[in-house]
Amino acid sequence: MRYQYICFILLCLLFLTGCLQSRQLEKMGVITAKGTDASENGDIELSIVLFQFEAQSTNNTKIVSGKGKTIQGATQNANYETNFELSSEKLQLELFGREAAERGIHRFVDTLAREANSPNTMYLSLSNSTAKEIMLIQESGIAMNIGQYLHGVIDKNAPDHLFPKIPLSTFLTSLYDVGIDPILPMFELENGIPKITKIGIFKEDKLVGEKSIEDRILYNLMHKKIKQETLVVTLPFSSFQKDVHRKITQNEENLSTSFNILSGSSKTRLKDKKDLSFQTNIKLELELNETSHELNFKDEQVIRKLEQAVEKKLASKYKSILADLQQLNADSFGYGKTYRIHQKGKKLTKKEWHKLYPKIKVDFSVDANIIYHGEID
Amino acid sequence: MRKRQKGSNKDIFPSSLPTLEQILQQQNLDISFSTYDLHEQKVAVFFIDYLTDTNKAQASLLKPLLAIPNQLTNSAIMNHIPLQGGETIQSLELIIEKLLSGTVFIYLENEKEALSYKLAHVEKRSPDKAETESLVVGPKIAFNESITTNMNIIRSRVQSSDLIMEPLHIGKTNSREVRIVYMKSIANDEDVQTIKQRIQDLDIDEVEDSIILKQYIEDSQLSFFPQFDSTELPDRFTYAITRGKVGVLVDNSSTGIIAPATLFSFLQSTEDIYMRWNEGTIFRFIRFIAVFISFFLTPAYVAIVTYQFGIIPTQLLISLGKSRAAVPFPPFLEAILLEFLIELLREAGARLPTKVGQTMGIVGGIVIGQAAVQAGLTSNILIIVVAMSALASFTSPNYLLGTTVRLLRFPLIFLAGLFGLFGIVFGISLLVIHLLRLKSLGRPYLLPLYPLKLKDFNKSFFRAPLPYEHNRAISYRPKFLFRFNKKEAAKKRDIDE
Repeated sequence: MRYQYICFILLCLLFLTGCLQSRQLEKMGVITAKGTDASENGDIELSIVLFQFEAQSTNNTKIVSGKGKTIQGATQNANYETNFELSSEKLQLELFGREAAERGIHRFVDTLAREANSPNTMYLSLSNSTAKEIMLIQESGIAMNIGQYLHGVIDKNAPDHLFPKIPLSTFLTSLYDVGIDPILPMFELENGIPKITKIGIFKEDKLVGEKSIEDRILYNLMHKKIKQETLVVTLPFSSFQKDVHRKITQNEENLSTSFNILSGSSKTRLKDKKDLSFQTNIKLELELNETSHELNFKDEQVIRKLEQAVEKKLASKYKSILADLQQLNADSFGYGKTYRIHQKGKKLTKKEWHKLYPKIKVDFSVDANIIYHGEID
Repeated sequence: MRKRQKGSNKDIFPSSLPTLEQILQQQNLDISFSTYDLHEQKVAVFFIDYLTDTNKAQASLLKPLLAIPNQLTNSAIMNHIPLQGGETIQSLELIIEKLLSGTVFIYLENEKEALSYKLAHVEKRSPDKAETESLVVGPKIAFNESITTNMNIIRSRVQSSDLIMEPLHIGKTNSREVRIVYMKSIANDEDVQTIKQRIQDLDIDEVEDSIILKQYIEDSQLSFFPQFDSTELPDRFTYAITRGKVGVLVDNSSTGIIAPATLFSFLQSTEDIYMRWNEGTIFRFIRFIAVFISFFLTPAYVAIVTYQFGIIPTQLLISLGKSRAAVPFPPFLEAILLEFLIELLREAGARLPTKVGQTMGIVGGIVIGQAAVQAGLTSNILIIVVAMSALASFTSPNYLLGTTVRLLRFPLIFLAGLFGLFGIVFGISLLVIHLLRLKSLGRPYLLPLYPLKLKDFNKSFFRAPLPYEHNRAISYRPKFLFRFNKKEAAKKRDIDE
């Protein structure tokens, strides 16, 4: 009886194999990147970059697009353009068009998070114009799959999970957390090649403003310890006039310096709860790499002076950025998180914090230490 | 063996020589029977010439016999013949049995008994280089089919009165000598007793070879896995014996059995010990990885390409997709096809003479593989995968385990084709359950992993530097753990001390 039972199961295994739905690689359109744009009458337009493997063709990349009221609908619509079944298992990058981002991307991100097949590690990014424009660059400029290309651009520009590497999971945490607003990298076409040029500032899920990508390090410093990053600071030349060792350039206004950050970290604490005043201490250990003028580094005083100039410059930069952010009412630095910790009794809501946020005062103190400056002899 | 007629057991002596000859020739045994007249007495000498050392019989038996100066009696003959082990025998039954083992008989007419001298001649080859388990570093000699030679080799490797070689006989119709080899003061009594009991309890007609005996006395005969180690290398054999295991030798078999064994002991080679400890450890690890690869790689390919392609990096995905695009079969069929091809090559290579076999390997490996890709029957990545797992399966020092792993791959490919990675996990779970339940001579098969014996890790997974191997593995529960004093062994003495 037992053997009959086993034989029955084995036979079932053998004959019912055909009933299982297989997802063979060569029959799938493997999506690597997806661009989402807002279209007229509230429609969603998707531009999908995918790999499809055909024996007769050497080109594996294809771009399809579709429109629909929902993401699912648009995907289905896009699927009519290809004979391969679309699968988002290897989705690496989601690009949102400017208009879509300004209207709010919560519904798109939520769909991505719900879809079990799509990986949580995909990067999110913005397009300065429409996502479609950047996706369609494929035909003209870049030889490789545009999804992989953009993914590579983001990946290679961020060590240790820092901006502009914002995976879906990180975005979702800052979206749902009270007291911090997300940021995303923004691509722009420059001479027909997509390039990260800006930081998109979000208030909750809506794009409200942008900052130059030059300030990337300042954002990263506020969130994580950073290591081995380049910091470029432009200082007024006037105060270093006496310390010039040998004259190199003619520019007499600015002293441009470039440092390698050996280690950088920040600490924020709430000074006064009623007053909404915060203290942010930033600590930097620097290695001087480059200056536009050759200074007399043999003199210890010159280095101290340089350190002080950098400290002053960075603090003022932080101040002006914060003022801008307060105007946009977007807490990209996450001061609300520090405030929330000290909120006793009841929970801080997003609404409350956005009322308080424009009123906060922050004291930035930067402590820069130039450890190495190289030999100039 | 056929039954002899009733009544043949009764004494045939005394009888006259012609009647004796007639009786003997009735047995159809090619007995050479010669009669001599000596001092007016008739003497017969008879034996089976292809079983007897005829040169020795001529020189040491016939010559002294014919030179006896006085009256012949049995005792006079025994005194004059310079050979040991002369016996007197009466029954025909015994005479025939002795004749078949190469004994020469002398019979004086009308005596009550015949004299016998054992002058057996056994055809055997001299000990040769190992064929199936070859070592790069270490002794090259291998067991051969003669149990006396094998015992000789073992005794010369372990010169200790502690080494016991207990004789047993097995097989009712075709009796064969079996020796249980162990160290009296080290081997676990229970193990020795169990293996002896299992051999004695075997109620079978004959055993062709030790590998067959091994299958009879293993714990689970239905399992895929070999539970006793078998080797043709005397050094591997004695290494196990001196560590407290029990060995079995069978006459006419060039393989020794070692018990108990664990899954990991099949992946250990004596070469690990001949190498330095670090190399030995690394090579041992390579073998562990190889078994895993051999078992897992092709099923993983099938599962990933059929279902879970999300888990591989994009770059690999592209080349995988490109190579798969032209293949008309589902991955499962593709993999089975290629694995079958490899098994076909291996089987053909094993059956063919060496020289033809090599040519076959080249034809099969290069020509068929290349052609299969070009014809679009398989993807070239699968060729690499299958070749790699085939190669990996041959790294196992024990050929039997390599075969097991190779065959177990097929059900796993099947499960992978059905359910993807879940199928593989299911298959591996089943396998682990089986391995956990499996025993070798009553001891767990997964020792020292389960039950966990951390102290034995340096004797099974790693190969510790020799001073650290100052104890025997506790997994096999030897009676005597201590080997040498670690501190004393490591001490360097000055020349003047």
